[in-house]
Amino acid sequence: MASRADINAALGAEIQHQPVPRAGPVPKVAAPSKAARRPAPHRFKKPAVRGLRPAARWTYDESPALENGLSFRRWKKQTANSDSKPVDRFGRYNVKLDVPEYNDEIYAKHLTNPEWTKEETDSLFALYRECNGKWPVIIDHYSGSTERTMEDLKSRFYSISATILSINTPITSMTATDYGMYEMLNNFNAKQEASRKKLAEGHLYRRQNEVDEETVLLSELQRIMMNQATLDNEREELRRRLDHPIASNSYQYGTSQALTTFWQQLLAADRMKKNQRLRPTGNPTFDGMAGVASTSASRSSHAGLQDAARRNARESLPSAAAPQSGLSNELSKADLLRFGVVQSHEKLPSGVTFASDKLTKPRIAKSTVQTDKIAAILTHIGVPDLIALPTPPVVEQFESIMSKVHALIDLRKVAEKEEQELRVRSAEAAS
Amino acid sequence: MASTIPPTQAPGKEDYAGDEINALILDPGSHSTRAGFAGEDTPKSVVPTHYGFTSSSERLFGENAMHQPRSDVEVRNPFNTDGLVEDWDTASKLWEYTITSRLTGARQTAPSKNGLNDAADENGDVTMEGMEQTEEQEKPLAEYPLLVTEPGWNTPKHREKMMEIAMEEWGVPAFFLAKNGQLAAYASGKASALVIDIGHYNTSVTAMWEGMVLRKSLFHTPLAGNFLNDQIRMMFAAQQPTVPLIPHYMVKSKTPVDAGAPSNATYVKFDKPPHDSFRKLEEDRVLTSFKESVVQTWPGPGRLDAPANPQGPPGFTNMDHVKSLPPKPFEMPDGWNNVFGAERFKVAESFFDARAAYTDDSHPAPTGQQTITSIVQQSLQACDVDTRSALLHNVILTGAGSLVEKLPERLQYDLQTAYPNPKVRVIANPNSVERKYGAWLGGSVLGSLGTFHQMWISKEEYKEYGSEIVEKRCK
Ligand SMILES: Nc1ncnc2c1ncn2[C@@H]1O[C@H](COP(=O)(O)OP(=O)(O)OP(=O)(O)O)[C@@H](O)[C@H]1O
Ligand SMILES: [Mg+2]
Repeated sequence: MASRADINAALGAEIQHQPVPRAGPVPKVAAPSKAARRPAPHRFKKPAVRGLRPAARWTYDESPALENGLSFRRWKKQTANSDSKPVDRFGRYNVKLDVPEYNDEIYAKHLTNPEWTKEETDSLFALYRECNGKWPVIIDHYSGSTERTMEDLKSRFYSISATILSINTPITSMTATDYGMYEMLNNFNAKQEASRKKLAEGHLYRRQNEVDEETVLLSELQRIMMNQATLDNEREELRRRLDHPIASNSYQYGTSQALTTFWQQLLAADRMKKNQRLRPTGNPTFDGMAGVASTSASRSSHAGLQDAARRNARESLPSAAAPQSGLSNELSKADLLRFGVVQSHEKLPSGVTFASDKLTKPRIAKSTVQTDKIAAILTHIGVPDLIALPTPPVVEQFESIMSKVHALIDLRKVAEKEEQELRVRSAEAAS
Repeated sequence: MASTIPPTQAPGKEDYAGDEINALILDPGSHSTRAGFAGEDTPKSVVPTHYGFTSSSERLFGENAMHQPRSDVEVRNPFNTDGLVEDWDTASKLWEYTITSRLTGARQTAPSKNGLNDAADENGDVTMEGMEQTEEQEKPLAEYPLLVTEPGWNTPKHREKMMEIAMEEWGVPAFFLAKNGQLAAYASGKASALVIDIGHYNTSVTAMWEGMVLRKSLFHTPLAGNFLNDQIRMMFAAQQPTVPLIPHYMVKSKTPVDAGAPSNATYVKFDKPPHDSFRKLEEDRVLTSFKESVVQTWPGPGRLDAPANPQGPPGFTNMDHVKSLPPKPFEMPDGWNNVFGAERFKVAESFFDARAAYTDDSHPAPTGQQTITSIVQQSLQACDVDTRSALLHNVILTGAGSLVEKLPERLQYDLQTAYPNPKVRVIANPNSVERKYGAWLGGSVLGSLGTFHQMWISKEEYKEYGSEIVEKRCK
């Protein structure tokens, strides 16, 4: 039906620009000026003349958009020179939706599900089409024999869509978008969705004080984040001073880390003593975890503060764990395949290595004789000297060929030896 | 098919009313019946739904005929209290009267019989094409596609009957039925909204999602304009001394009196007084002006009987607060007049707080489930969780019954209290004409959209599929 834009535009165009009569509650009689301006209303003032006019004859354009066997028609007043060209002027508003389709055969082969009958499935798909894929409307209109949640409907619909997608285009030849779609459809998790909904519902009914508390917390967070920048700058400055490279290597505690270790050692030693001269800084990053554990109850009231400090410290310190995120996390399987990214587990020599080395290096043996032999065999079996692209499968193939080549060479050696022996023996026997 | 346009893009100007088809929009309510042409900004014809039924079984329609005091006229309403049509015979006559009396002109005599057509027409465009056409000609609305509004809970039987009347009796070339909640949302330019329509017999809630009505969200309650009339009557009866409710037709002349003093008027003497139902209708007219000028909803925060503020003096309620506000005066047709203080708040309080209702033997208190806030909550509960905050952000208030002063503010306040987290926004058009005719206006917008043309059910389709087609096409 009409979209919001339609209505807005219609309102804007048709109504809001018209001065609305402020007159009494019963606007029975149009203001004369208005009647003059508008073509339609003055018709009712002269019924006598109307008798002369024939009832308008309505013609219609048969709209080609048919679905349920019913045809839509577009009405037009028939005029004397009506050129009834069957143009579908409004066809572009018939926005259609892509809904996966299946037939009985496909259904029986791939789509059966013990919890769903074919009729129910059919009606779900019909409903999806009718509601233009708007799930809140679909669940509202759905009426089956079994009570189902929106998640039930969605997981049925999505799994069928995924299956049909994979039947139409095998996974291997899917484009990235298709594959993404397929993955998404396959990964729909009804349980998770249901629990998300539960949470959302709880969220809707949160008590006033919780809402207030959240507001306060958010403004607090805001304040912290505002201060964070200056705090970071100060800290950065401090760190630069502490980490300043020192000319002589003789001074042991040149870095902040070393300094912290030193401090911790001192602190630990100090605790053993009867009269302590050192006070912990209150910052566990500096004092060490042991320090926190043994701090007296008197400071436990600062626990919150410490916590915050620890969090800050952790956030601002460059994390050693950062570069851990590997390729595998960043690229999906489909993308790995598409970009030819492989993860290899072999140890690489330090420095730069080229994949093409894998195709050239094995050809060169220690002796030139050997190298020539290898080259001869490779030419014989038709492996070119230059191989264009050292992709992983090519390299793998090449390596297997090379191992065979080596085996061949070894066997030839053995054969040669045996032949030599044979010759010697037969010569002996002959003599 | 031509290339489709994205749904977010507004259709071009030429697609609005580009091919004007002069569709008629009929919005039949239980209090008034509204009709007019699509594309206009107010219904040109508004007729009371109550009608006079004479002892000679004649029906009197329209303001002028209705308000004559006659002893032989009984006032009736073709709607039942559930807001559905009960008396189809009368309803169809009333609607036809509403349309033909002011919009299209009376039923035409067939041109072949009226004698005007005997002379040759120079344009030659009146030549008839056969007997059937002549017959159609006699039907009153043969020229106009008709869009009719209906309450959300209308039954399939009622819908089919409506279509049969339009097609068979009126001979419309095309027909459509749309739910009035949906239309009111269109009138506000919303495709997703929660529409609250406060009418005469019923208040209804309709949730719309992206242009489609969520059927399970449809709820209605009798707490509407008529209910408020009863509340005011009971309030009048409870006043010390009781407030006399004398309608205009009973008063011959009056002289001014002091506030609260007995009236000093001469009354019309009737040999046989008009029917009770007539008196009730005329009283309702007085009550409507009382609602317009005196009644006000306590705007919140809190209920009327809630403590005014937690820090304030203990036991000081909102009620005590409104007692300190300046009262409003009202004068009855017979000159009796007085000011109304806290009472003008109390009568409307039961829309939101069932316990605050005035009751008597024939008017039991409404249940807690029947308050407006409560039906909104029930309606939202029936919608998907993910839609609720969006719906709460687009609560549209419509219907003439919603014109009670400060009612939007109270609704806003109560809903925000019930749902503290999402942002509640009650949209009430400040223009009272647009609030009164919300559903009709939406129909006017819809009927003038070029995109809507293909939705009409044509006469041919009706002939082919019968009236069941209305269920398939008017969702
Ligand atoms: N200014 C006003 N303030 C309060 N109430 C009003 C005002 N004007 C009209 N009303 C009341 O509104 C009610 C009529 O509302 P409306 O015209 O929306 O009802 P309806 O659509 O005919 O009925 P329904 O929707 O229940 O079938 C009447 O009870 C009337 O007294
Ligand atoms: Mg109404």
